[in-house]
This record gives sequence, structure tokens and C-alpha cells, in this order.
Amino acid sequence: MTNFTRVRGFVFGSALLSVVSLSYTRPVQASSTFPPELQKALEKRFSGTAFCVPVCTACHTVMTGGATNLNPFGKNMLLNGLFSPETVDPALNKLLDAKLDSDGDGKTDNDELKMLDAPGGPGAFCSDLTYGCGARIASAPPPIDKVGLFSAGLVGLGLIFLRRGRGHRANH
Amino acid sequence: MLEGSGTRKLGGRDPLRAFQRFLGWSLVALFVSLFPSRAHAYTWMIKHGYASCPVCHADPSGGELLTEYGRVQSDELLRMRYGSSSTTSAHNQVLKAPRLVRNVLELKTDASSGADDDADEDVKPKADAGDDSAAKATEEEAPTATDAAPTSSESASSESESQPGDFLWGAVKLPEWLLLGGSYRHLTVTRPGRDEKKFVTFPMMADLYGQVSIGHFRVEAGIGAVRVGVGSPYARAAQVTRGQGDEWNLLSRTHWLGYDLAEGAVTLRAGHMNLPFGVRIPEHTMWVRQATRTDRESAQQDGVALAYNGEKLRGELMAIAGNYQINPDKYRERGYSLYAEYMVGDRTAVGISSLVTNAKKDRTTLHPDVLRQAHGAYVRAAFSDDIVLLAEADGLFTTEHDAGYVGFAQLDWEVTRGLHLMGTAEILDKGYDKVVGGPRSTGNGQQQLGAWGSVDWFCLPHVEVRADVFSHQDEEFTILGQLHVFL
Repeated sequence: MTNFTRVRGFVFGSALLSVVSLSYTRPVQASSTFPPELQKALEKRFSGTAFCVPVCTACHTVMTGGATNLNPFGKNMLLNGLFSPETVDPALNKLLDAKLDSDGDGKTDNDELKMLDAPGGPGAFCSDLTYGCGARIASAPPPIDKVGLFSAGLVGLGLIFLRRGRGHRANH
Repeated sequence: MLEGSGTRKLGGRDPLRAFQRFLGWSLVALFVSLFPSRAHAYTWMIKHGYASCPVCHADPSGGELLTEYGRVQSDELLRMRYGSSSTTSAHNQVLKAPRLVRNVLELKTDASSGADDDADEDVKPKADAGDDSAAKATEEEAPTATDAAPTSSESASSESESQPGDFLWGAVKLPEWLLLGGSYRHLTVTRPGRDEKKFVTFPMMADLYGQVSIGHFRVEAGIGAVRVGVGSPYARAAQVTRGQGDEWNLLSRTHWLGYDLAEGAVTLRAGHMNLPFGVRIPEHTMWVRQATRTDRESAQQDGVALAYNGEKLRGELMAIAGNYQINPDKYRERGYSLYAEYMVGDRTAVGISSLVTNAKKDRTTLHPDVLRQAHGAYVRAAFSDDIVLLAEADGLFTTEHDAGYVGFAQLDWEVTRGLHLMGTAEILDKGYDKVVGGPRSTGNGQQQLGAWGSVDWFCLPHVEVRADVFSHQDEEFTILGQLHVFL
């Protein structure tokens, strides 16, 4: 098999692999959808009060979240039916209606949340932590055709390989 | 230390004994590694005689931006070969091996192969990993590391022929004073146990880096783009733009100014850098990197670092001034981080690491006045040309926490050139959080175990395809697929 044929094979293989890997592209969601849902549920429950988007320590013991890092409020939310972002609202209402005191400090979760306090313990509900040191990127980024972008990248890769292949053949 | 409280529900073992057992096996592995046969960062590059990082990387402790020599080696030693390798020789350029590599290769040749025929002018190890005589030294004098940050090159071939060491798969020959690189990682995550969103895919990393050398000075910077959700533990700390939601942001993981001394054996740097600690592995989610906050994903800090790379001894000490890409100042950690490593054999290195930082408010737990420490040891050992062990164990000591520990051991078997099978075991107990209180749980006052199985295939020049399956105790079983293209 000549170098040129081999290079074309590599390029084709890379293209096929990348198209397959891209064909199921969806935006990342994971558990980071819970905080905005919790904010919405709180603003619905306590209408007239503006809530921050809670940080992960509202329900977890660390900012990185995680199934094994739940604080007492997070555990009670699970026990009251939380398992997906859509169940945040019903689970919260069920928990608050039960007048639970998750962190055992003598104040019910309902009262603590009304005062914008953390019901799960000494963690924080809202945070002043921010990231970055400069400007923002434009608020409405243009839509990216991911398949098109990768195809273009692979075409470029293929051209590079072809150029290498031609260079090698010229020397032989 | 840890409270011994007898039998525990999970595993039925006291965490202190579990850690002692893990440490014991680590020491056994260390002992075994002192008697290597032939031994092969990718930190497992030690098996090819590359114990020291600056021969292939701009960062004196390794990672990311490749030198021209490093790019050649990634073509020669990393990727899979198909069919006849005769064309490889035609592509070889006369490339001066940096001094540290040359001397290590000389030692290895003398120790294990007796008299070897000198290579012609090709200074690179041969592609055949099984051949000990692949490690041949050049007759030429190696340049000083300051000549071309840190390599220089002389191509014996015509200018029109692309060379593996040239940028963009040989398409662009860069001037000696300039290094350029980049990395794109696309990740797929599958969690079969979930009812919804079992499968997600996204670009994990899209960074470009570059370095300009002017005499003994070097300026390095990287820039990338990322989009993560609100509350994501990843990428945020490396942001340079201030979007706090799920919009796109620019980030810069590293940017620093450096000065080389002692012919490149000593490098002083100031800027935003990876923390010198432990085994610098690419798996940033491994507990040894996450629990110590020393991964290369977004745990970089600003500070001043002094690195030394000698024949047998290497290390780096960094004074941490805080991460000025997070605000306000109370969340910035200040202190130091260091590692020191010693080659105890031709292809075995042992090291120690230490980190102490203090923050007015901890960015992860939001606890006030937190003094965080991690101290430990690690080993990199090549048992044969194909099998490498990486292992690390660290003690964790944090304000208002019981003492904790974290460790990992990874066995890498290169089945054939370019195809790696890896098995990894992890253990973690961050130490019981006394501020939060409540019952102890896995990872919080109780040991947590994890295991990985990985296939890593360097299928093409500068292209890597990887699959991992991992299971962490009390967490979801997860399958990862990754495509990595690096410039």
C-alpha cells in the first residue's frame, strides 16, 4: 500500500470517527440544572422575594456537588421525591409543608429560606464567588454547526496529510 | 490521625488499616520497582528513558506544549505503526537530543546492552520498543536548553519535505524561538444507570498554546474556549471572561514568564501555572488530583516557581500567590506546593510531594479560614519495555476535618506500540467534615473505593482515542469515550 493510499485511509478513518462522535452532540446538562430550578421553585413559593441561583452547597457539602456529598437538606429533598430537575418544585413544597428542620438549628427550613438563609447547615445558599477577570463574550454567540466545523477541520487535516504524502513520494 | 472505631459498615474495615494496607502495597511495588528489568507524560514515558519532562515539554514539569523534539518523539514512540516502518527512517531528521536525554540514554546503554554500535546521525531511539539498543546516544554535543526553548533542530532534509517535528503534522516549520501547540479533547459520557440523559457529548478542551524564547527568557501562554453549566466544578477557575452562566467563556490555564539558568537545568517562572505535586497524569478526575486540587484542568494558580531538572534529581517548588482568575480575594489560596523526584534506577523514579495553602474562605466548601495540606509520595516504574506502574499516596489535612487520605495505582501495559491497556485502583477519604456534621459517609469519614479500566490508542500522528469505564463506590457506573487531537 502506498503512502498516499495509507494517508487517505487515515483521513477517512478520522473523518468517520469524528462524525460518529459528533452525531449525538447535545449540550452538557447534568446536575447543574438543579440550581436554576430551585431558584424558580423558591420564587414561586415565596412570591415577592428575589432569590439568587443557589450554589451547590445549598444541597451538597461541597461546591462540586456529587451524589455522596449531600447535606441534611439535600437528603431530605431526595426523601421527598427529588430525582430530576422537574421534581425540584414538588419535592421542595412537600418538604417545606412538612415543616422540617433539616440542620436541627431550631428554625424550620421554610423560615430559613424565607430569610435567604441556608437550611442544610453551615454551608452557603448564595455565594459571592465569581470567575474571570475580563470582559464577557457576546451574549448571543452565533450558532455553530458542529458537524460542519469538524468536517472543515478534518478536510484541513486531510490536506496536511496529503501534502506530506506528496512530499514523500517526490523524494522517492 | 484517623479514629479507629473497629468494624465499619462499608467493607468492614477501619479506614486507618485500609490506608496502611494501601501504603504497604505501595511500598511493595516500590521495592519491586527498585529492580527493574528494562524498564518505558505521559509519565509512563519513563520506560523509554525519558524521566525528565523538559526534553519534550515547555513546562519543566511536563504537560501540554511540546517542543520540536517532543513532537518528534510523539511520532516515534507514542503512535501505532502500520505495515512497514521503513518510511519512518526517511522522515527522520537529524535532531540534537537535549543533554538530559542523551546522558540518560548513555547510562541505559552502558548498563544493559554493553557495547552498542553507534547510530549514524539519528539520535532518536528506534521505533522498536523491544530493542534495548534503541536507546543510542549521539556523538554530537547537545545544545543548551536555552538555544531553542529548550531544543534546537537541524534538518538534514530539504526544506520542502515535512518533518514530524514541524508544527501541524509537519506542514509548518517554526522558527527556533517559537513553539506553538494546541489540544482538542471531545468527550462522550455514558451513564447506563440513569433514566434520562444517559449519554452526553461535548468538547472538553479546545486550547491553543505558544511560547516565545528570547535568549534565556521565555514567555508562554495558552488560551481556550469552554462552555459549562452553572455550578460546574470544571473550567470556571481558569476563566478569563466573566460569564457566570452557561455561556461560552475564554479561559487561560497557563501563562507565565520564565528564565533559564544553568544551561536549562534550572528554570525560574512567574505567572499562572500548574501546581508541582504528585504524578502529572492527564486524568484530571482521578481522586489524587481532585482531592489535592492539583489537576491540570483548572487547578492552576498564580505564583513563582523554581524548577530543577538534573540527571537523577528533579523537582519544583512553587510559592502560591492565589488564583487571580477567581474573585473576591477571600477565596484565593496562598501557600506553597512542591515535589522532588529521584531516579533510583534506569527507569524507576520515586518522589515526594507537599502542599500547604490557606484561604480566608474555601472555594469548594465555603468554610471560613481553611488551612489545607496534602503530603505524600509517589513512584513511576517501568517493569519491562511494555509495563509501567504509576502510584501515589497522599495524606489530607484540612481545617475542621479529620485527617484523610487519597491514593491511586495505575498499571499501563502497552500491548503493541501505540495501544495501551490500563487498570487503575483509587481510594479516598477526604476526612470527616466536622462543620457539616451528620453521619459519616463514603469519602467523608469512610473510605471510598474506585476502579478504572482504560484503552488508550494513539492511532495516528497526534491523535489519540481513549475509552474508560470506571466505577466509584456509591456513585454511578460511567463510560467515557474521548477523541484527542494535539498539535
